[in-house]
Amino acid sequence: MKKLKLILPLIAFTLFSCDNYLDVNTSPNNPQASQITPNLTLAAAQSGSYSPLVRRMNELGNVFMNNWGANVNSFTGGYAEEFGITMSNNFYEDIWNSVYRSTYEYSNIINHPSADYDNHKAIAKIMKSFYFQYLVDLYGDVPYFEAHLGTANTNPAYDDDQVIYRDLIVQLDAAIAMINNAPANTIAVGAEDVMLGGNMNKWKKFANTLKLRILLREATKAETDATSATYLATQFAALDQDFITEDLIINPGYSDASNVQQNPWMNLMVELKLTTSGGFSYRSGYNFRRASDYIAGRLNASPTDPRRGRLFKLLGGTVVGVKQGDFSGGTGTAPGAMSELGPGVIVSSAQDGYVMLAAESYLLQAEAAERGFISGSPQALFNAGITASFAHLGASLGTYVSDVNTENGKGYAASTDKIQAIMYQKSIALCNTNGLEAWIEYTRTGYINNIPMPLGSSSPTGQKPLRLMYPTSELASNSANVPAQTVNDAFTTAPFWK
Amino acid sequence: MRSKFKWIFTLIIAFSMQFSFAQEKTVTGVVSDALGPLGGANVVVEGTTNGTTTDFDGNYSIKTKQGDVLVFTYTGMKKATAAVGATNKINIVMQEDILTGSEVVVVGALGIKKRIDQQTSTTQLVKAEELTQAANPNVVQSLAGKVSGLQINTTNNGVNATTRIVLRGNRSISSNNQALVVIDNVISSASILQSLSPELIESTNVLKGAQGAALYGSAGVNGVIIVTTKSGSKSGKLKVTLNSAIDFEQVSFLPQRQMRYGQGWNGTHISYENGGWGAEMDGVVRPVGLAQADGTYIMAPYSAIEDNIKEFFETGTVMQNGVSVSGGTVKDGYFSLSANRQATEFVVKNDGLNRSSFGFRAGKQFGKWKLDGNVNYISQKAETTSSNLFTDLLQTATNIPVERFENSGQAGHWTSYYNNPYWLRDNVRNVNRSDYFNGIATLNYEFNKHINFNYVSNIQTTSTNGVSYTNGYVDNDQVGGGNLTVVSSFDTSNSTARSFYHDFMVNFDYKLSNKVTFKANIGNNLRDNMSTFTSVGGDNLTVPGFYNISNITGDPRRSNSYVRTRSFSFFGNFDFGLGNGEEGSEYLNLNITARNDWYSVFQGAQTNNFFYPSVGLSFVPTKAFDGLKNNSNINYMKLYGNVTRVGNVGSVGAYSLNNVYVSASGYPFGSLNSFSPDGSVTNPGITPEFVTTTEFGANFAFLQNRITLDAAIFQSKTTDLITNQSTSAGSGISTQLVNIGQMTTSGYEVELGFTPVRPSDFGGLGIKWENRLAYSHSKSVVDKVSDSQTEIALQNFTGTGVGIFATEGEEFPLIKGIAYQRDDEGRVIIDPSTGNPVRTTDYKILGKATPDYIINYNTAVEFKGLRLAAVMDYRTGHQFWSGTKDWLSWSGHLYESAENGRNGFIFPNSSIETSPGVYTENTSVVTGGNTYTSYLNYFSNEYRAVVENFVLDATAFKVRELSLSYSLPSKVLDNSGLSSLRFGVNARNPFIVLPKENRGYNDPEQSRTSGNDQGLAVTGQYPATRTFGFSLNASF
Repeated sequence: MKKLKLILPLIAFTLFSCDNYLDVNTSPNNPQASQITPNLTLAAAQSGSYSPLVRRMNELGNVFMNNWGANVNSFTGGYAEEFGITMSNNFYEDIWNSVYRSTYEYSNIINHPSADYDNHKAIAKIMKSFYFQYLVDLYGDVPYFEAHLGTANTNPAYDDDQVIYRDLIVQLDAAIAMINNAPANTIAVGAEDVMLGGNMNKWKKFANTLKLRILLREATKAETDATSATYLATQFAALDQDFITEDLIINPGYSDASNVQQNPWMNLMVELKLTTSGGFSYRSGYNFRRASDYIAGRLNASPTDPRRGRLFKLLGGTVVGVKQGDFSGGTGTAPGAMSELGPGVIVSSAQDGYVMLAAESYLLQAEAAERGFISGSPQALFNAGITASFAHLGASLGTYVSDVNTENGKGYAASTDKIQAIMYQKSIALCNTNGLEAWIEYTRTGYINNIPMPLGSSSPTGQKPLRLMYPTSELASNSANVPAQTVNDAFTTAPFWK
Repeated sequence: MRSKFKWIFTLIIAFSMQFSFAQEKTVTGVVSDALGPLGGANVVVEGTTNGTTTDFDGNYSIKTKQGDVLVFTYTGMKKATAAVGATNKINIVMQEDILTGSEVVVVGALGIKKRIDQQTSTTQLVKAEELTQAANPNVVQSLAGKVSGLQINTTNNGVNATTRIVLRGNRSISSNNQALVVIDNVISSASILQSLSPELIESTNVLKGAQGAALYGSAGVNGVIIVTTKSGSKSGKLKVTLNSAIDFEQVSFLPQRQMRYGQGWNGTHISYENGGWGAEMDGVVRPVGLAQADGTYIMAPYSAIEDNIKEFFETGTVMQNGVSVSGGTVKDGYFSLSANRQATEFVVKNDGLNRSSFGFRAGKQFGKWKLDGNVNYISQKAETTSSNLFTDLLQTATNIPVERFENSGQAGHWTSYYNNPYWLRDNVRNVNRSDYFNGIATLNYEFNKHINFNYVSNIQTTSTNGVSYTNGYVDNDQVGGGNLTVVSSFDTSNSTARSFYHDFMVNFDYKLSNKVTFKANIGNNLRDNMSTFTSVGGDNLTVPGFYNISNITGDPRRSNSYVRTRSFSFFGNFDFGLGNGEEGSEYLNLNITARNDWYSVFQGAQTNNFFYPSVGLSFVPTKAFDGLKNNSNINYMKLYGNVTRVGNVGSVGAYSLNNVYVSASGYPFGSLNSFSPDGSVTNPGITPEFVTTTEFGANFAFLQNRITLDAAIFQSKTTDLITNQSTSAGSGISTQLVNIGQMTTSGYEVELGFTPVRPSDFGGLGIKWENRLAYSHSKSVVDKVSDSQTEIALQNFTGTGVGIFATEGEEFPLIKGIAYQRDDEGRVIIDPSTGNPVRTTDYKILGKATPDYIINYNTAVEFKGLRLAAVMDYRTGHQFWSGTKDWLSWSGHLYESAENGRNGFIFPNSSIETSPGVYTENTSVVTGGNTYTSYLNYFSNEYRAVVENFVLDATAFKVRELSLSYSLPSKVLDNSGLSSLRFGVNARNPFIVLPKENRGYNDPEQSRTSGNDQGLAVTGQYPATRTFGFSLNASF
């Protein structure tokens, strides 16, 4: 029995130390959410959400705008679905997933418990509105009011697209008010704002410009819809006409130090290391994308657009494009050499990212002025838009402004339909940089129907789709909420604004 | 047989009666069985501790006196006795135990030993001999095909192949489904088991039934493989064993590719193309590939070369050498010391593995104390390139003389669009070194004859160092728009892992009444696992060929982590037996187990501890009823059943309940750092998923064991599945670990053993032929996912259009993907305007990744020292997505793309929509157009987009092992100093038969991971291999 006594305390010891024994479950590998304040996440939210904008969203727009063709001489199988206009739940599904997830942190910042981060919260509201507008533009009804709740709601309900649009304006107004009324103890925004460096005045300008974009999206509908017209009249009356006058850029410090530090657009295009002769060593993302025959024709037509040599590399002095859907590389009808992306958009791994161009700001103003929503000369704003676009691309303006002014459909003065000219200039300004915005604007105004369809494509309407289909991920994980939708619906039903 | 024995016994006793005086003397003799002398048999004087063991020629010598009774025992043999009479020589021929070894004691969970009778759930023993018969250095692989209900897949082949070990199917969607590995009563891992020298293993017991594993709590929820290493205590004498094996390894098969059209595109021969879309081959000598360094081109006839890519692979070798020294007994102290070395050169040049392992085990009994110490050390170095090179190698037309490009580098490669696999092999290198140490101390104290204490303490440490580098190449030419640029990089990592494992048990053994026995084991278990990981790396090395972090440019990649988990448990095991009072007579056995686990990973959840009970009953009619005893037709029968409820916590990792932010991609940018919310979260309400398993089984032995039949049927219901649920992106997060859903896994195994010929047959000819044929079936069905969801994607390659899913009402794991749109009659609908088959917009069910059934067949014939053994299995009823077929399809290498020339065709069994909803047979619309180009585009764009084309029948018949060995008769060895010598010739995976639609694309066992998302075989994996070799074992 003596020996048993020795063992009993041992058992007792293990019993009583059990609670402390298990207390090893606090991660030393990652910061706890409670340690993270908005200033520690804003940069990541901004750069994380920009990546899908310039990559997949830009790509979708440039393909649907018939700006890009495929280098069929070197690649096969590329853009098969895009050129076939084969809509499915998989088609560009990643846009939905990456935009929702990369903007999650904006909502967390907005909901951060501390009252000391009003400026950060205002920025988050503006950026969240910026991306949710695109979600509506791409899909129509989407989760909004129940979105971004994490585990609290993994099956967010879908909200009406028009209701969301209306709330975006409310949120932008709230953001502007937060900036204007930030209490004295509000923590200043600094380098963690990788877009405007904490310049809250510029954030207000951006918020105004975004409001302008959001409101104008409804302008076509308002031509025939009285409710929309009334709404716009009220909103424009209250709109502060202080818009951005320079490109809104993002740059957390892009460089060629590593793949993840390259400008995300350039990361698709070039290797980190230059060739032995000092030029870019191109990735297949660059080698695959070529000018389309359609955009080549637009840029080469008289008056020749000086931006063409900045947007695309000239071959024999002109842009040479390939017809979308012409897969007969090598020996077929496709040209033996096609224009590559140009030096105006392929600058360096460290180049700035563009969230919104000054050119777009001016062209939005031109449209608003043309429609009488705001004051100002449509022609002057139109010209300012072209000038800003040339500046953005580093093209020499020359006499283009006056030359194009006499071209119906491209220049302001000669165009019977001024909106069409504004849209044309917008499409060139946004070509390669924000193709998605151009596609949405073309879809809104209906000018998309003037752009040729790819060879061999088939579409129920004979035209491009009006929106994307809800992604497979939603069908699988949120089936109770996702609205029923057929392939046909993507071609025949648009977001509320059309 | 039994009655004859009794007669001999009586006779011996009768003789001994004649002597009335007792005098001490030495008795010698030979113990043998029908096949020859038995080494290691125990000889004990009945009623005393006086005993000895036979040497390797079966000789023994023991001091005894007339009137004593000698008892002879040997595993698998019936106990024999002989009375000591006047003679000093007693030779014994032992008989096989006709009770199928029901007296055999098997090591089960926590080292608790039980006789087969007492086991209330299914186990299967694999003898060391079976494990090593084909000299496979990987013990895990050598279990394949030998145990019914056990499915071992070699998911990725290479110098250190990865395997997936699943017992009786999947029970969980996201949690671990793989069996637990326990080595010497301590929880270990499959990777340790596969680096353990097979020669060290004494026995392997597979606990298939849930109850057998219930004592391990959540760790044993998927069954357990219990491995016991040799302790060297069998023979008192010193024994030295040498073993040596050499194997030659070759690629088994490669995908069949078309041999009609050569390198090129659009029907034109282009010398730098990766495609096989060139002109029809004409045998004319033409340049191949890019210009070589001297500006010339490699010239070769434009004609097909059979299996040209096979030239890339070499014949590998696997060499194993080992020595072990052992001796002693428990009483006097025993030890065993072993050293083994394995050197593998893989079929890819410079890929190799060197492993040295050392083991030392010793123990001794000191009165009431028993001590055992066991130390293992394994040092390993693996040098590999990246198996991704196989992806590049597949982009090769059949006219290319592959081996002539070995020294051409990237610049002179045969295509400008894919990397030169030879260049990759030489310039993408990984070296991984690891040192593993394992120490186990076991202490047993016998308090009295009813109570003893047992303490097992273990520490395992692993330290690993990995160095990887890639040399750079800048493609200045970019011929044809290709880009062979490779960015140079360097990465190194260090990791350590340390685990403590303690078991303390109090064991009770009582007779409650004359007929009822009671045994209990009550104990406590502690586990403490800690691991650290540090890595650093970077790109764009400044000095080529210098591999150090100082040589990178830009910000280094770096990461470090520390992970610690602990668990704490109490458990109890209670066995009741009802018999007639004699030892081993129990015919009714009741087993109850209970365990409560506390987990550190659940700190922060609602509760951190969970209770797991089980109950089982076995009944042995052949021992219960007098009428069945000694029945020569049915000589053994056992019926058993059990119910077990255990939790699976596999997917709840350390810290997963913490709400954390993670370092954002690209950050820090200089002095700016930023974090993002973790998109993968765990719901704080998480509990283990509970698996409730019911099992029934029966064992029969007929005709004195000539025929045995073992059958078991089981059903596991998993509720509150811990599922890594992909959430709506709208929630902001990507996945949530949450308890949802329910799954039912059911199945059965039937194993028939038959011994048509025994050594005693045909007048004692000495031929033994044993067979085991097993049929296993298991099926996992997802009963429910959640109220808002009907399926969970384990993996979804949206770009390709294929994924692995858990779908309500369907078998798991399910392969789904884009399919052909079909009309009501099942005809493929053709779009009349394009001629393309219409494909579905959503995913369709295309297959499932687990077989309907597996048939294992094991056979062995022994005759005069010769032993011929074979292991084979047949798996069918499942499918897999072949990444290789997909990869060959667009670039013109697919066999089917050239079968009937390269022109459009009428799609077989197709229809066109003539008016809405009306489909008529298609007899005119051509698919693939009328030109070579349109045909190419059909394959590149349309054919490839239909995933259905790449989901293939995963049926496979494999001969996994063939071995022939010869043991020299002891007579021959008499004066050689050797006690045994065996030569073997063996082959592993010599024959594989695949269905016709799998034209060697992938071994269907292959999978991109060893996780639950089985069914996706990708291209970046080496093809299957087979080995042929020789082995030699000697002992003295």
